[in-house]
Amino acid sequence: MLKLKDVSFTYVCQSGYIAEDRGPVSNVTGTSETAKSAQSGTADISENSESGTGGRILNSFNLNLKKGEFVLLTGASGCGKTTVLRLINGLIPRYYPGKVEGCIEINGEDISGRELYEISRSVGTVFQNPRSQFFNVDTTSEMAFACENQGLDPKEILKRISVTAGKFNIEKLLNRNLFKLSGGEKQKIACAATDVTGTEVILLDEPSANLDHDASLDLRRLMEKWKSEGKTIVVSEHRLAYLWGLPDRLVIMKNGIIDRVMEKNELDTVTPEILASMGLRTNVMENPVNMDLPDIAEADTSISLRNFSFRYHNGIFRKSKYSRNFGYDDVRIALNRITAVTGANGIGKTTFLNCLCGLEDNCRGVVEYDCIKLDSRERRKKFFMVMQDVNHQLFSESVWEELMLCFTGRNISDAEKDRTASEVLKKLDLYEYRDRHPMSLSGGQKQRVAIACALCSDRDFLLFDEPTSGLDQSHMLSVSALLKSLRDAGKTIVVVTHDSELIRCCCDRKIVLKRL
Amino acid sequence: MLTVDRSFGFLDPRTKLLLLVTLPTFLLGGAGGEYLKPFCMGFSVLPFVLLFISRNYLPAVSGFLVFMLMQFAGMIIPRDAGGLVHNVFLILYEVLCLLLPCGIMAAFIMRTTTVGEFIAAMEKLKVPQFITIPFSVMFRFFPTIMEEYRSIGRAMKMRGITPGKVGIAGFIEYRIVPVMMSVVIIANELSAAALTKGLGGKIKRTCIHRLGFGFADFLLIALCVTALLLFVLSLFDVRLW
Amino acid sequence: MDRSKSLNSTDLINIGVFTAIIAVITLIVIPIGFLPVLMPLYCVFIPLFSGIPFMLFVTRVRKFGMITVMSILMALFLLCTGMGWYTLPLALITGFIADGLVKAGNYSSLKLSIAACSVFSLWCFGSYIPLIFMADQFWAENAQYGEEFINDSKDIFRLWMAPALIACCLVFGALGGVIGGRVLKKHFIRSGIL
Repeated sequence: MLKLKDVSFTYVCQSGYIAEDRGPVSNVTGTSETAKSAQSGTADISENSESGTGGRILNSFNLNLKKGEFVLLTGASGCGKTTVLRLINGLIPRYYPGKVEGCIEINGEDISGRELYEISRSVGTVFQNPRSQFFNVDTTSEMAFACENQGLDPKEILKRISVTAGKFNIEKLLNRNLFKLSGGEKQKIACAATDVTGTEVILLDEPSANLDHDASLDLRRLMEKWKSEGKTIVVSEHRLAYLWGLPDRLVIMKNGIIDRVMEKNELDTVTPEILASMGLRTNVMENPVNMDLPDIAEADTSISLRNFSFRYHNGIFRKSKYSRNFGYDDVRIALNRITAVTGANGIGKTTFLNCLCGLEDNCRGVVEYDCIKLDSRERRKKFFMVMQDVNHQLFSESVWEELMLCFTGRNISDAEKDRTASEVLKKLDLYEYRDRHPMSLSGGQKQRVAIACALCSDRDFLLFDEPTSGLDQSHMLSVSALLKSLRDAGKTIVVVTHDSELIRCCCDRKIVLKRL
Repeated sequence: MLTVDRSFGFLDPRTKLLLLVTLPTFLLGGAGGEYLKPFCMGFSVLPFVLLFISRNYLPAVSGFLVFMLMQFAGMIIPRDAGGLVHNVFLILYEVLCLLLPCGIMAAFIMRTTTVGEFIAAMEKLKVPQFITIPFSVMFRFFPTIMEEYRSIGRAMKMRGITPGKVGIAGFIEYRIVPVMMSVVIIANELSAAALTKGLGGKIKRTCIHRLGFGFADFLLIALCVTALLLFVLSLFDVRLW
Repeated sequence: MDRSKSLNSTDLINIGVFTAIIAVITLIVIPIGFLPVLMPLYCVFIPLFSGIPFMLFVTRVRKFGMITVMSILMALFLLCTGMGWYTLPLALITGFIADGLVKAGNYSSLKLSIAACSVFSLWCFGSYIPLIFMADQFWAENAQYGEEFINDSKDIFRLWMAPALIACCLVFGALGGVIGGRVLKKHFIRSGIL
């Protein structure tokens, strides 16, 4: 049904940097290595982008799927999983240019001559990032979008939406504003939108990256429904646990080639240790909320939050009931430890961090450290936050300048600034990138730049918002090691995460946020 | 059976478009002058009436009160008193009296129409795709841009970047550039996603939103058309009173 | 590479995105104009700040008509915010000329791109058209508001304001374009996002 035969793909980098007299030239279709690395979050394709001429991403890839089969593609970042999906749904080479060799067939027909909109009749795709896969503002329009593009009769489209809503149990999500939904709800709508089109092949590119425990189990249920309907499914994922048991085959990729294929009988007997030895994440599901970690131990010194609350104000014309309000009477965060903050999607974990950091105006309550009450301004000087989207906190034109920015306003000599910055960069393996623009680095490197800024700012409290979402095993382990070394250096770390493996690897304490 | 009805506003989007064009023409453009004064008064009050009917009671009443207060203030304050403050007040008052109804009208239409309905109305009016698609992308992107803007603002606050420390030019640069980078990345991803959903095919798009005129629509359309007709006639010196 | 002349979906999405950015900038600047004395500043701030997104947009323009569509959209946007429809004919002309300028440089000339930015910015002038050219009608309706008041307002929005405002749009548009070009080189090209 779906066949890739000896497929190779060579990426062609089209952007041309200008000479002084000519105007700016760009690669118009919007494709660039940064677009790719931005999408997968951490793809270390920086080696290829440095040479400026592209590189061979995929090499003699073979895949043969019968109708109704469920295949899971996995492997380290940059191994080519996303490229395979893009070859199947036609984005490569029509949107992401490059040279494709080999043959891709859907239902026996070679798709190389087909246009994207024609392929979209047989192949539906669910992407990783909820914020950039929706074309519309309300849910019903989004579900109808693909069918409208195909020119279907409106009555037929409405009927299909009704059937899908019933099947996936999302009637409550119809006619709602997409921007007000939680991450899990958004992914449900994305899947529903693909279901409405009724395509035979469904591709999912790391769909659970931003989802918490419960939401990823909901996603699994959707996939089970699809499997029972006989859809042919290809999923690219790092997180294996939530859908373990569904795939008929596991394809492990490495550097653009297939490293190993495991069939169903093997999959039934594999253990987390075997997977770990292959550099993959665990296949055993664990709910972070239930994990056995204390929120505070007797011997800990701590900062305490009392009557800590946040109220989201609606404007005069707004009638939405969406709120991330919370209120906690007494929360204590252990000093010099790594504390995990968990809770369901949409409950306000990021808002909690923002409030802690002194960045929200509607936050009330007392934060007390060492018997001194810290107001918002003082908290801003003591807390440093590494945000979920690191792009939002990188401002300068080079890594070095970014670190220099941390020293503004403080009375430090230039020599001292240079010394500190160099030390920090070397410690984080970034010294050779000091003249590069921060946005040209990979996701993991950007995260380290943000941490470098934290260290240069000389602040004792470091807050992390989902640092490992979308990361593979080895990157998750290096983040874990980094957090531990920061803790050993005397910092207090607070990590918002839904990644149970990270919690198991490095967290000492755990706080669970519950709904007000 | 699922139906998508005009639950977000009791008016057909095309009527709303007509109102959007008519109100500013008369209020800001001063079409018709003294002759069409009753129409102008009517148009000034219309937005508040619409707000009220669509169950936005608080904004309707409070906005109307502000408006009436300003009218009243304008009547009792002596006209010929000179002085800068007085003039400034008059100017402010004048602008508010004219801009407020137009602005409220626009806000009402924005709040009660989904982007999909808007596009459907435009397609029914035979507006070409190269206008309707970018238009809907625009409105889809407003919330995204604001979210990115706010998030970056928070990051700047956290890093302690203020105009005092990096200068005005630096501050503006740090404020705008990351937003644009984020937006560009999102735009690239969005294009890819939309293409996989079949956008850009040679097929004529259909639309699930059903449009139709109701009683209120006919009333308002009649009002606008009459006003415009009278105005055009008055340009040829044909007046009815 | 897309060799056809008509705008495809990616182009249309790009137009929508960048017009949205400029519209947001406009929305932020508009409240300043509630005081008529400060209203002329539209023609200063909007061209200045929209230079950056516009120059970035120009790097994605490879077909004739994209800037024209952008100008039309801005005019329609003003319509939706209750500023009237007078900008529309103006936008058609300025967009057309800007498109021509960019095409003349074969889509790779920095100077012509800045010139296009300058011409494009003329759409800001559209909101003033009723105030300046139809001022007499406007004030005839509101004659009860005192001699001095009317004269003051007429003073501000006299006919000679028109060329002054137009010049402002052009000058600050060009300035915005220059700044945009520099920001492009400093950030977008260096980081490879372009």
